Amino acid sequence: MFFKQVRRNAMRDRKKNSLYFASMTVAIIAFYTLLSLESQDVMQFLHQVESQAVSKLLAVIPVVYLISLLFVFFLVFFAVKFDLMSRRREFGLYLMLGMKRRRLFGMIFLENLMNSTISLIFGITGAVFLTELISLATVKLTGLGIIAHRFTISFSALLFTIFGYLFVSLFSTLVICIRTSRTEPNELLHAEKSRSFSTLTKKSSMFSLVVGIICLLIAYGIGIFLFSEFQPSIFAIFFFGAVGTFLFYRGFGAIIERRILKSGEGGTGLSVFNSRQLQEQVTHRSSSLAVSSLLLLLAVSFLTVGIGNSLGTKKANPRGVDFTLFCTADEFNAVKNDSEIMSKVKLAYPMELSRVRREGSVLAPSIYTALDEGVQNKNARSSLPSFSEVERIISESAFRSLQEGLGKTLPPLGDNKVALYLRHDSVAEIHNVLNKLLKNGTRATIDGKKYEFLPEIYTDNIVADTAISIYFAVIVPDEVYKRLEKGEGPVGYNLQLKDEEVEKEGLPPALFALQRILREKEIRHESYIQGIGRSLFLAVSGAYLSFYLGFLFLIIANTSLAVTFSIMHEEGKGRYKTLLMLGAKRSDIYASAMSQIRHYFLLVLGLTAVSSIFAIITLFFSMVRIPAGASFALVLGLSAGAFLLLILIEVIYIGAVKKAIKKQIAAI
Amino acid sequence: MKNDKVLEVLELSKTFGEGESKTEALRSISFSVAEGEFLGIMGPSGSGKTTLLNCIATMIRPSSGKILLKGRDIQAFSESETAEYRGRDIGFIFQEFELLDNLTGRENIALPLALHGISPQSAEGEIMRLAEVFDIKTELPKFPTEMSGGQKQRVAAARALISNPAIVLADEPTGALDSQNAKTLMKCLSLACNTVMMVTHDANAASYCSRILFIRDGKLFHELRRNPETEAPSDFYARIVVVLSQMGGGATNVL
Repeated sequence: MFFKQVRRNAMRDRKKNSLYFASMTVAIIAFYTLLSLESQDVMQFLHQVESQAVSKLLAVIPVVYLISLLFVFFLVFFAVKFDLMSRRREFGLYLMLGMKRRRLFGMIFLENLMNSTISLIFGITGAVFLTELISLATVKLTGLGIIAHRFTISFSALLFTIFGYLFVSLFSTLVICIRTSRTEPNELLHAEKSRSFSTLTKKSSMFSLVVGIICLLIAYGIGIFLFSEFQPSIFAIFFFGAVGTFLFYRGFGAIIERRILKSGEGGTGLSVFNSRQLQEQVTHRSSSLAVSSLLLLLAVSFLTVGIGNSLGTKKANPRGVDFTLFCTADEFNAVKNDSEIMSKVKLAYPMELSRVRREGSVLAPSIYTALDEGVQNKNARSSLPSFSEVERIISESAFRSLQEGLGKTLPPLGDNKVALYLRHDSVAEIHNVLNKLLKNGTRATIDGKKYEFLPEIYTDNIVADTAISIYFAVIVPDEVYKRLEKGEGPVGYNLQLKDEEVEKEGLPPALFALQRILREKEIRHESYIQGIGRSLFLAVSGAYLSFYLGFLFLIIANTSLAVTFSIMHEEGKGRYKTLLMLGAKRSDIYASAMSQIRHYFLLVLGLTAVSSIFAIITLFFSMVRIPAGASFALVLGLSAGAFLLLILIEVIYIGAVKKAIKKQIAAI
Repeated sequence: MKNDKVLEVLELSKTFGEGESKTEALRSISFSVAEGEFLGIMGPSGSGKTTLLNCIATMIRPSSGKILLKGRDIQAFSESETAEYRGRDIGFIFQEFELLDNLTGRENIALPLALHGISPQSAEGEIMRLAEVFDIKTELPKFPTEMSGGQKQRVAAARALISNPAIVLADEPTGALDSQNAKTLMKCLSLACNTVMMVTHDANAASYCSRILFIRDGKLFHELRRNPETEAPSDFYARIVVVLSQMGGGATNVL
């Protein structure tokens, strides 16, 4: 009998709060996906190439998990609290009929356990499918073909997801049960009569509203004008933004009150009633609205960073040199004679890069002047190297070999031409300024002789990975190079794999194979595979975590909004009965509830939208940098995609709330 | 001939449940309420008086019989006619006031008008007149939680009267009030209302009526009339108490 009742109550709860349960299932999927990151194929692969960075990321995951667990805890606590509140009468009745408190709480506890278990079953099944999909998509998107995909279930992730969620769910139930146990049965039975409606005084509402708006403006201002220069100002942004949002909602009731008074309480139909309902929701639940709005804002910010990161990493990864060896000339000669190595290599050449022998000489002053005048963006300017750093030269033959290895050509320089080298991930603005300059036919001066620049800028990485990082260099004829170089020898020796090797096995396995041989022979080197690893790692860590948090916050904020509205509506159900008795049509009441839902969501989404615009501008001025060459259409497409996702989620939630409320009204 | 009957109840029956659990709450009751009458309905618990009131208020549908308001059959009303009827033709006073706790006193009173597309501004004069009669002028800008029980019920009564209904239906209006507040309310009601039909247990409240129908087991049991000009409420009260004690069966029903 007892268990039958528990089962029945649990089922009724799931039906009544279906939106909440769906959201919890999504939260569980998110938990598992995050926790199982370590065992996902892409991470396994990255562990081989970037083990240190991966370890760092994996160390961050528990922290992210705990933070998201904390947020989910508040959501569960909130939802359970209001679910139990709406059943106070029922509990009072049980107690009056002689049920022991311990048994009552046992019943509530079991109901929650049952529902949590069901959420877990659905959530984990969904999560396993999702992680499989992510793994398959990564293989496809990266086009690496290296990740031998296999079906995996991470048991530690499973365990942490189950225990984390059950703990959050049952602990919140326990806390609320303990609090309810202090209430007398009579108070439980007559719970709904004790509600009161009060508004803040007009003065204090207006004060809150004005101070709130000022705080928000300060936060926006700091974000746009100060944050990119002074990063710690983020704390001020958080402080003023949060305080501003809370005060704004606290005081917003004043605007509604003014609207009611302005219409002289003269609105016909249910307009006054609607405004009062909205005012009550805003005044009584201002902090919940503020928290939802802030969470939505965080979600938008994380999604923005996610988009920025995924764009930033994609472009940073063109194939260049396969290996760079750091060895002496003799060792390099030994390599050249090594048939095992050379059977896999089509080109081996020294990378001749040097500073100019004479300190302070300026080969192409027009370049620096143009950059100094043409580059306005603060970030771009800060990445410009100083004069002394930029005086580097690359020999024509070394660069020609590099181009040849990549299947490109460098037009002959002859004795009166040079070419400009610029690192591949430079800022778009610098690239544009230089491009314009070269098109206008600027010249370099070496030992009094003028050299013409080739019209194209060369950006292929001169080493396999990041051992040598230069911003500019001038590619000069070999004869000039010999005259100007400092005599320190090549910076490294580059190897390029044979095309057949790459075609046979795919690029990464071919790289791994040669890397193994070089490691065995203890030749110090770096490999292009590290570059792939790093960019993939950045994409995974940056974008993945950003998207994860963004999505989770989005779900939590919306669930909290939906639950708050449903609860307020459930509490005020008696009013609709009275309205019907006073002659309101059911269709009027339905329209009234729908208008309340629209205004309620609009109120939260409105402020969030305004804050989001400023947040996105702030982020693009500081943390997120769209790399040179990223297509505008792609940026726009991704942003539109994220925007559509947001709209879709809002539509789903608003639709679900409307459906639930429609049902409630039909039952009156 | 002028038809001064505001409400006519003809052969009204209401049965709840089926088979063995069948309960006949009303058994073919007929009566009418004339314009200007203050009709009381009394009877023991379970006698069917609240069912009768709910049938008239269109909160439940009768099993058979007719209810005519000013000659119109209320069961034949469409949904919008029913809403119109509830909001304009009748005024309802509940035992538990049923004020909307998020509207001010003024907004609560104006609600039935607003629901039917009438701007409450145009009825400001009427609102002030009723506030004067019910002594709730200072309560108009307050929310229900800031009012006493008596004040709430007087606001609710003003709300019932704002659309100038043909008849006011009151369901135990003094049920949740102390005797002083009950007395004030009844005085105000008898002053302000034209035609009232009130269900009550309270012999004190009933003594303000001009006629009382006593119901037992779903049937009319007795009727008392008072001539307000010749009989004081206190004398009428004594007669009511006698009928109530008879209705209980006197001493014969005591086990």
